[in-house]
Amino acid sequence: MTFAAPPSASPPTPSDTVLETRTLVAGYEAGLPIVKGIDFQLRKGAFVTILGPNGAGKSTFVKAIAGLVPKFSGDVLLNGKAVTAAAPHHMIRSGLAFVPQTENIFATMTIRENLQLCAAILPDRALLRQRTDAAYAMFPDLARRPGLLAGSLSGGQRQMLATARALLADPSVLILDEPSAGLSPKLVAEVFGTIATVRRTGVAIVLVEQNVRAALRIADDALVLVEGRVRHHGPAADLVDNPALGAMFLGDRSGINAETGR
Amino acid sequence: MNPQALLDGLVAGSMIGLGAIGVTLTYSIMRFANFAHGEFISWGAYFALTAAVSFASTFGIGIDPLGPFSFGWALPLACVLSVVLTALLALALDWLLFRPLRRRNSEMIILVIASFGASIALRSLLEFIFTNAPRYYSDSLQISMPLFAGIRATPDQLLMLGVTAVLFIGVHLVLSHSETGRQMRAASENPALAEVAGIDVARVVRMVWIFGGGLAAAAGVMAGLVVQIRPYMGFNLLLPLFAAAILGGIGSVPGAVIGGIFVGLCEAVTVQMIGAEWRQAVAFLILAAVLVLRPNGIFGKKTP
Repeated sequence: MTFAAPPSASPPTPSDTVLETRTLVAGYEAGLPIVKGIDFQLRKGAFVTILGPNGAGKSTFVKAIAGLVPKFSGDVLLNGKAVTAAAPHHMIRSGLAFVPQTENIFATMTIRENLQLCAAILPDRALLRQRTDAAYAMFPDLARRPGLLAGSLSGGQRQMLATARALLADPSVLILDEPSAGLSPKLVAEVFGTIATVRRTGVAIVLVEQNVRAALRIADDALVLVEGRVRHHGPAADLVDNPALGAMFLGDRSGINAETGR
Repeated sequence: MNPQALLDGLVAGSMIGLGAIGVTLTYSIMRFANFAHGEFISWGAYFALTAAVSFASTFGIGIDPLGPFSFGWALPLACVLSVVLTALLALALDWLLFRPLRRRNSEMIILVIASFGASIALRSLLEFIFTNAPRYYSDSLQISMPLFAGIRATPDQLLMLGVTAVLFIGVHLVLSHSETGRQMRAASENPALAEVAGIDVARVVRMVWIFGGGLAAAAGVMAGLVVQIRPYMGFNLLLPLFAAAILGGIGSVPGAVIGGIFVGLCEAVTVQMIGAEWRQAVAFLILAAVLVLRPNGIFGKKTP
């Protein structure tokens, strides 16, 4: 098969797209859209970080994809199938795992029980055990004391557990909603370590992040949202050391104009 | 103190405990106090009465008392049917009333008031169909037999304690070890995260109504057997039910049963030491004391 092009060189094709939104409009209250028509495509195994100033609709966008925020119009496609109206508990069955920003583990249950909840979507006990063992191998911190109440874990470990629980479903897309929010710098490094580990599994990742520099270092592509619309979508490397970046996060157009006009 | 209060308290406490399991599960998963829960107890008792009478009159079976008990085969069969019918009643009430309110994201107080309205409607319907006259599952008189230390009990009462113990252990094992139980605890702690984790929370809610309604029916049949059947029987148990559920800690099934037995024992001791007219005040005092001193209850993990 010498004539076959290497996968990295092939252009994105529809069959290559795991997640797609088509002019998605979403928000909490009817008539008050926060996400104002976003078109977005995610290729198999790709890593995109969603950036933007506060109130840009980053979290609302990913929550709407996961079915946690009402969608007003537009479509969400997962592996080519429309899942726009699917209930949140169906999304993980269709291959989309979502890790919320806070309260993303069941604090009153043990680490083991948190992972066992995956039995709801994985009736095959042997497969569940096999994947649980793989999750423990990936995150040895969790394997050390599986009987520990999840509520007693550190912020970084909670993020590990939430991510491990999401990965048990073997999703094609993993959405992480600001995993480093509210954590100390040391724990932020731990969380980014977790993400780097997850990345090696080949799952496509959508990372919403306030920690712009760290996110751009780890992601392939960046999607910048401002006021519910896509401002920029391109390789993450293009945005690194871009003087306009800071201005973009302040939502300050004059700043960008000043930079480009120089 | 006459030790007889211990047995009387245990008997009353088992009925309260079985009813309180439904209250505590509804509160922890749907986050509202269901005032109509007492009506499931009354309806359970009347469903069983109607079924037992029909079995006896249609097939002419089940009238002769079984061994030492006051009732024949018709009642246990009718009780099983009543558990199913009451669970269906609870599901129907949710479908008609509570689910539409939840879909509109109604505030907790709206659900509470709606349940209060449902309680009045269901109770009035019972009065309309069966009148206010007390009814009984059996005409036969039971002589209580001496057990030990001067405590006496009827065979019906002893059977009731046994059935309560079996039901409680069964429900506890299901909730602590089964997939459904784990999903209920997850939905109780964080419904949105439970959905994201792939749990069908609507199904969990249906399971809660089935468990709550079914156990309420069992409590109703027992209360009808050892006391009498009246349209107000469930409503009068409401305060003890809430006292037991809150004392035990919202969401805790063992807590609800232990709380129920504690409330039952306190009632029995009060009746004996102070006077029967103070029985109703006991649950109220316990409820007030728990809310002031330990609002999360004995086994409660978090503020409801």
